[in-house]
Amino acid sequence: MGGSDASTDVSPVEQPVEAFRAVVGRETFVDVYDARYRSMVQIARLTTGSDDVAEELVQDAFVDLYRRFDTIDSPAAYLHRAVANRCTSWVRRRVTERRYHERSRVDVSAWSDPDTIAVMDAIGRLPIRQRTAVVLRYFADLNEADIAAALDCRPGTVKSLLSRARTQLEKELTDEH
Amino acid sequence: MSTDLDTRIAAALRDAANTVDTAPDAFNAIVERAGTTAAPRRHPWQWAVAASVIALASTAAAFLFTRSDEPDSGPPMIAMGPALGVGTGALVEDCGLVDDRPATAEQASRVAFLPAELPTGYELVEAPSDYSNAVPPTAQVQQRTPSSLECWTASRSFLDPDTGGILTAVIARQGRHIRWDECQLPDGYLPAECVDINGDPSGVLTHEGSRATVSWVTEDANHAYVSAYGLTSEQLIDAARSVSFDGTDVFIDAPAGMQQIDERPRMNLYNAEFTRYSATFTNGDPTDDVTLTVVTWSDMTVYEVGPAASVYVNGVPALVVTTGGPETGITSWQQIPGTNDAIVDLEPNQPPPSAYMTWTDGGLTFTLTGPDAPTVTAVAQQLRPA
Repeated sequence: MGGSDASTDVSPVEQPVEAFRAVVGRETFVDVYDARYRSMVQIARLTTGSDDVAEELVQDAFVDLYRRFDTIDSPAAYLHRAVANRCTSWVRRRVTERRYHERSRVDVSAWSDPDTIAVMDAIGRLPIRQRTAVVLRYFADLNEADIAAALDCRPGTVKSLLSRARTQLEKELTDEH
Repeated sequence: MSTDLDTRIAAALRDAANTVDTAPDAFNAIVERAGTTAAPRRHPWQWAVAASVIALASTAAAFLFTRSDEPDSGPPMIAMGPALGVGTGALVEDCGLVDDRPATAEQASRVAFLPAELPTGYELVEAPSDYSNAVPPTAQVQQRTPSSLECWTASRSFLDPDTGGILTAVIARQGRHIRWDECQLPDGYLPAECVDINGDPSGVLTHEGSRATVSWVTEDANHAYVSAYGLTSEQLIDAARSVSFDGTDVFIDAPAGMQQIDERPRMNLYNAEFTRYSATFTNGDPTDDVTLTVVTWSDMTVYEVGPAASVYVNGVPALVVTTGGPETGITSWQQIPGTNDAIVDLEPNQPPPSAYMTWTDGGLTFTLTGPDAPTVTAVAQQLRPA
């Protein structure tokens, strides 16, 4: 951040990348990228269960953000919604195309801690909207209002999603022992 | 216990997230793509990823006519050709980017109202944020930008009302489909066999669950596939061999007793704008959730095959298909963790019972998915046109 003049009337697409750092008075695209890219990939990874797909989806979201950067008030909120939307769509497509939920589960092979595996496996069995809400709440630490904005639903719906998810997780994680 | 569970969930997510790596050149890739709106390109590794995703989605020609009508997925886009036998010179993403924006009041007014009543025990749990019974729900408008590739699809579907059998033929183009020199069947893959369809050297017949699919590449490099439930292999292959395409419409000789239930002339996948909304209803059990999708896209999507029936919704014929459940015996596979393309672990699998229902009315396509045919039918009967 910081710097001097900055031609804020020129869209990000038309500016050299480094020039973004000179934009005054607001977060630049580079700032957003530096601060959010990895965490968004993490959210997408935890939601979709796939490293490669996660980065693909997040890059799509950043491409859209890049093109609309001047018109977006809250890049973080935009990214949460865009990434959540893409993850939900991707998982639903897989479920729709394959029609059996077991195959959309999160790949747990990357982790070694038994409890991480158990919890992630249980999270992977949640319906995708519940799964996304759980990741946004417990990993991204968003409040219900922000999750509602990300999922394009009412806060009451988020409460319901989290409650149902939690009940299911508690049951599964209790039953396993 | 509550605090313990919350702590446990948060700790597991943090631990799992720690293993996530990101591509070192991601920023440049984003900038490069964002700066070339007309024909976005990805880095080679991304193409490989996309290919693997499409291969996953394709499931070896296992699905009938899959389109994505989820948010931000854009107008219907058939999944790429089957991993077996059919190759392609371009990938789905080349069919144009999807632009997504809120619908105008006029556009939103085209979509339907949610059901006035629900089956016993059901309630609405997910709806657009400003939904009320007085106005149609908020809808999104999606448009796929122009592409340098030809991206289109055409189809024709039939139903046997006596047996519940379904037959659908699709001709599609998404880039250049490659005719392999010979049929390619990896060992241990889905039950499949090479078949000769009108001289195509890479024709394949695959079986998955209640569905069988014949897939091939036509002389003029279009991708063709015919899927069916309730037909013998011989009937299916005979039907596939009768497929023709005049550049606009698909033609096929269906077995005796089958009645045409849908036909869709060639339709471009890009430059098409449509409005959509969705809502979910539940009775408390997530496996019983019913999801409604309404799009301003006149296309009855037959994306899964099983015993089917035709019913009427507000005087319009609708297709109800039952999938999964006992005796479906679907065959499945898993991807080797951490790889993009290898496939292992062929195993029998029984998908959970489910049903979907789809119909087109007044330029709107309605799709309901749920646990069984009676439930989705009950919800359908309560929908009110806008």
